[in-house]
Amino acid sequence: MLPLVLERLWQPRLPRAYRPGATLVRLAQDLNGLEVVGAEEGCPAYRLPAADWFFRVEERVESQFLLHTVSCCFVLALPGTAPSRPSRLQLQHRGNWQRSGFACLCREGDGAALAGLMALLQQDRDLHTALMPLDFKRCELIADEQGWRLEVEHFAASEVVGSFPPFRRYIRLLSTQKLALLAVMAAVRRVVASAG
Amino acid sequence: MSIEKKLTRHLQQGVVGFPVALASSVGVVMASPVILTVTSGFGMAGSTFALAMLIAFIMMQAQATTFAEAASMMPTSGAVYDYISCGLGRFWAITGTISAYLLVHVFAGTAETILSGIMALVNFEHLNTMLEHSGTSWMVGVGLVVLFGILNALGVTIFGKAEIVLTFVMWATLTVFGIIGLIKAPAVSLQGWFGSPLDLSDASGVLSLIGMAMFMFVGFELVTPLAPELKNAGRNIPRAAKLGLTGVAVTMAIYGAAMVHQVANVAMDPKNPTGPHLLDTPMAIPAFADQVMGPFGKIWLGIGLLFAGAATINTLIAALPRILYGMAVDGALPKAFTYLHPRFKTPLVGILVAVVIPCVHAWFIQGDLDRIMPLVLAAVCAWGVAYLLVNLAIVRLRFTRPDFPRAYRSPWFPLPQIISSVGILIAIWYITPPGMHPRDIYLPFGIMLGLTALYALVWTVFVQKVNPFRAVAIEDILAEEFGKVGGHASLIDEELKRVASGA
Repeated sequence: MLPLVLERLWQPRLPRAYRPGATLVRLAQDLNGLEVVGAEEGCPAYRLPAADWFFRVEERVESQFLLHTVSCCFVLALPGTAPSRPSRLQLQHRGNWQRSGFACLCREGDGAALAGLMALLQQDRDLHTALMPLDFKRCELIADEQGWRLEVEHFAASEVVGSFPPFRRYIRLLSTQKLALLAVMAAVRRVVASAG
Repeated sequence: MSIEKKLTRHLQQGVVGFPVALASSVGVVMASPVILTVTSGFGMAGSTFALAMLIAFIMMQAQATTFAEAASMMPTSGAVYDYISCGLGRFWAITGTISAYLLVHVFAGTAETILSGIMALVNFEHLNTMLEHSGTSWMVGVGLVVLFGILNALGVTIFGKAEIVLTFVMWATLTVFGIIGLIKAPAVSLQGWFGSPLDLSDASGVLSLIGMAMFMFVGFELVTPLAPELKNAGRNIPRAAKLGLTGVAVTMAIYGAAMVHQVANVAMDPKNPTGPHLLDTPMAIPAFADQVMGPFGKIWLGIGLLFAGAATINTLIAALPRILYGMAVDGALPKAFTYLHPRFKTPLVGILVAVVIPCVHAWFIQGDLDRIMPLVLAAVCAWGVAYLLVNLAIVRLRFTRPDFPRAYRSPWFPLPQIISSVGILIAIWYITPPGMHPRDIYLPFGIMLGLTALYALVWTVFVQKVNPFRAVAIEDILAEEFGKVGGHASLIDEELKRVASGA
């Protein structure tokens, strides 16, 4: 009985003040200039006008005490064959106080088989330039049965919602950040395609 | 679809029910300064404080009808800001909201920082004696702030669910301790049910106690920002506000009565019988816990208070830096606030400010408990001004927008608004309790109000470039709330084209 009650208490639940889709509506204004190419399960997809690739945006909710944050996760399906084992490569900034480049770390999967792709990613100058101004909380390349995809969760393009005192603050995605984000997607897409 | 139909639909839809609304309106019961106010209020004046509590309760019930009408017209997450904007204009909205909520946060945050440390420690005798001798027990709260500052800088947010459970446990704890305290045989020879008997010989004394009692109820309106998420908000908000106020009053009355039944209000210094008494200090809490449940009670209450304080502090440190980051991104604050740690992606400058404000403030007043009370009462004044502005806004809207649909109408208009406004004015006028200088309360209150008014004027005139005193149309506020999706331009700018061609 007690484990069941504890399990119910501990199971993930959406915060009470969470408004599904509200942050995506605010983000839509920041992504002004991109074409909307439909929405799947409430997650809109965008593309550059006339481009042959698009990315989806999903809301990610993180509960804290008396407040929650809603961040937007940009998901881009990548070309190329996915490895046989589920894999996860993480891109993260280097440096203690100032950014001094970025590192590509293998968090899951066969490191030796992924070494080539990791080296290509790390050596790509366009990717380096685009990643530097971005304040991403998480930037990962994930491979599963559906293939490779890039997931970027940005610090901006998120909402902080407090209940005591009550406030709702959207942190907007700047135009320069939007451009950098698109450049990252384009660069990663090119690198993964070239790696086969 | 007309705005009226959209409003009706918006009020009826929602994802959360009445229990959540009720929990929001009674959430403030957890704050350490409120528990201390009740303890010292009953210790100081017994039945007279109980009467002051009753008057404050009736006044707040009248105020609740105003908030309920406002929320039924404008079910927005902006709540108070939107109500005042639509009734009186942006100047009053900015002044009222910032002074009542943001700056109060600075004062109440400091009070919470100091009190959380003190109230948690008083239950652990050896540690408390050691720190009390060196006069540094308030530094435990500062230590908590620094600890949560470091944890947040590292991007750790591990306290969420555990804290919610602990907070509810803490609320239940107060009720359980109160009921047991009343059932048990009294340990004190009582002159009245609530301690010292009713004394109405000094009217100003009663009125000053109303100011203190008000503090136990301010914050019930925190249910109104829930309106967009609440099922049948037009009915549930007034119910939650009224029942929440009743719940707080009943719990606190039980706790206060139990406290005076079980703890003798003896002078702290036997050589100075006119000096501070036990119930004026946080030391009354371990004495009460020990009397009700023995040593186990002291540990239970001590851990509960420690975690409740930690929870509040963690929330402050987690939220404020992100808000500052967002404001800096919008250009409203220096660019330094947009700096994020390269690896953890945490807004370090914002976290530093969120940590420094309560710590420096606590150090400045040296954790002096006597100096917290004026700050808390100054905060009540600022909160009272916001309530007055909401009353004025809603009265004005009755005359200027009689056509606008109201899912809930404040009954006997304008009687509740007059009762609550007169009550608030009296409470502000008589807010200085015996033994305290009015200047200590009105000075921080005046500074708070003056600075925010100046900011509101500069912001509306020079930044927003609007008439600060022109009321905002309700339709505009609602249209924003219902979610206007920005149209996508058909052409992309040159930079975007360059990125596309580069890809």
